[in-house]
Amino acid sequence: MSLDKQITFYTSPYSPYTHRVHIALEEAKLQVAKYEIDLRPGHKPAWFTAKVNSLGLVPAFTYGGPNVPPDQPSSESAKLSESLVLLEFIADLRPNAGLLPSDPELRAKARLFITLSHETLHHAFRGFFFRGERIDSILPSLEAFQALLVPSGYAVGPWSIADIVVAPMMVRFVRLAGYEIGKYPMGEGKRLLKALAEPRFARLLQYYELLWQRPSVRATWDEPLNVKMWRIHPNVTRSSSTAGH
Amino acid sequence: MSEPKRITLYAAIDSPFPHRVRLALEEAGATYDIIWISLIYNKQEWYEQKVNVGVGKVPYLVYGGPKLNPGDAPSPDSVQVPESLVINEFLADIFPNAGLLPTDPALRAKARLFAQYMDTKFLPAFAGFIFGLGMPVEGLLATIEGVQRMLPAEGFAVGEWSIADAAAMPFFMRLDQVLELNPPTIKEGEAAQVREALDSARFVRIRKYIADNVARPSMAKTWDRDAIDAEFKKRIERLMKTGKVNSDITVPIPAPA
Repeated sequence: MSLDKQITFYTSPYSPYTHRVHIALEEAKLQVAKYEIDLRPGHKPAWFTAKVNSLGLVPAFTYGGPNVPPDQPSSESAKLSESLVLLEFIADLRPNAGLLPSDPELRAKARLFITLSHETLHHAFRGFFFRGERIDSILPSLEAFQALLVPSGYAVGPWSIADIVVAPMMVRFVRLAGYEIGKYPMGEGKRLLKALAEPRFARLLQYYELLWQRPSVRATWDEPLNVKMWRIHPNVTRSSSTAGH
Repeated sequence: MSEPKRITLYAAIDSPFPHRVRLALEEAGATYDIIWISLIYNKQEWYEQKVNVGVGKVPYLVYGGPKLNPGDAPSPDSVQVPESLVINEFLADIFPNAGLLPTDPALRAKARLFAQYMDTKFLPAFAGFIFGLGMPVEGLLATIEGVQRMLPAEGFAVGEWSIADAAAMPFFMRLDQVLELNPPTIKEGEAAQVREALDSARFVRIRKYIADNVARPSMAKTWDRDAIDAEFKKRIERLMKTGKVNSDITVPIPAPA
């Protein structure tokens, strides 16, 4: 077996996109060096955008090249980004870690699920937390997302990257709604949880429970930190002029 | 080894998305049937009712089952896959020795980043420009430059040809075609501006990239310029009458040129 090349993972502790990568790394038991990037406006280090990811986004990896301190990335390493691409990358590095099924049809189903989750779950997630929509406007998208799940088990039956992609949003929907954290009008968090407890969302809630029980999901979810950071992040806080509307 | 399963591809002539799949099938040396679907006029109701049920988009790949004719429903035992990038990953899985993706994990990641850039950055700029949705010339050129920056010094997106190139090339072929056709949806003079820029030193690398792809038999086999011209003109005609661009985008009816 060849020596593994170094991986440095640029992350943030409360981003749902980096959370995807943390889950996959936990599942694959892949050793990486982690470095937190402060994403607050004015705090992001210039070298990160210049040398690691020109879009300035996390998650990002450097792969290979000499061992260097994370804040002095080498030009010799490969620069990789985009959470979905990084999940496939981890699956390629650890093909026996169960991140993707070996059957081509199931792999296609997992990838299709990921594609279709954007306009359903992800759309609802952004609408509720970032655009301040009420539950009436997001519940149809959640129902459409639920319809993508096979009748039992994980998204496509066996565990896969399809579940890793959606787990961070599912967890935040259920766990942060309880604190009324997000741009949505105060009280909509409680209304959301009440709606999800209805029989029409039985499969979705069952799926959430399965994700919540997955050790890699729990091990990578820091609730106090997410609550603290999401409560103050300008993208998901209610402005004082619209509080309660 | 068991008998290879039948591959049937549902495609539309002018759409770049099924073209991505045809390129991959040709590069894999696969044998396949095509059933042509018209997206513009004479909508084939059976397609949305029996094949890509409830969605009705192309491409759609059926793997396994008997020979299909237009109007047939695929066998429930067959593997059925929509979404061009998902289909091409499926083809890379069922043809593991055809070189559709490199074996090196970092290069595979770069191939996927390239394809993702095409979908998230290039496609909106391309559609925005050619369908008159408000994309300025420099916006389009900047995204083309973004694609160019991702290319290695020579060769294809990740060196050897891969499904990353299949993701990109159908759009570059159609950009070239549309600039020449200069439909009324493009602002006066802007097609010429884009053409002049693309012919300049700024884009020498991507011109070579496009030429390298065009030289491959897979492009000669899958690019029927005249048929695609005819279909694209119908699409523009429909847009000028109804405002409909495609199944996802409808705009206010454009003012006549």
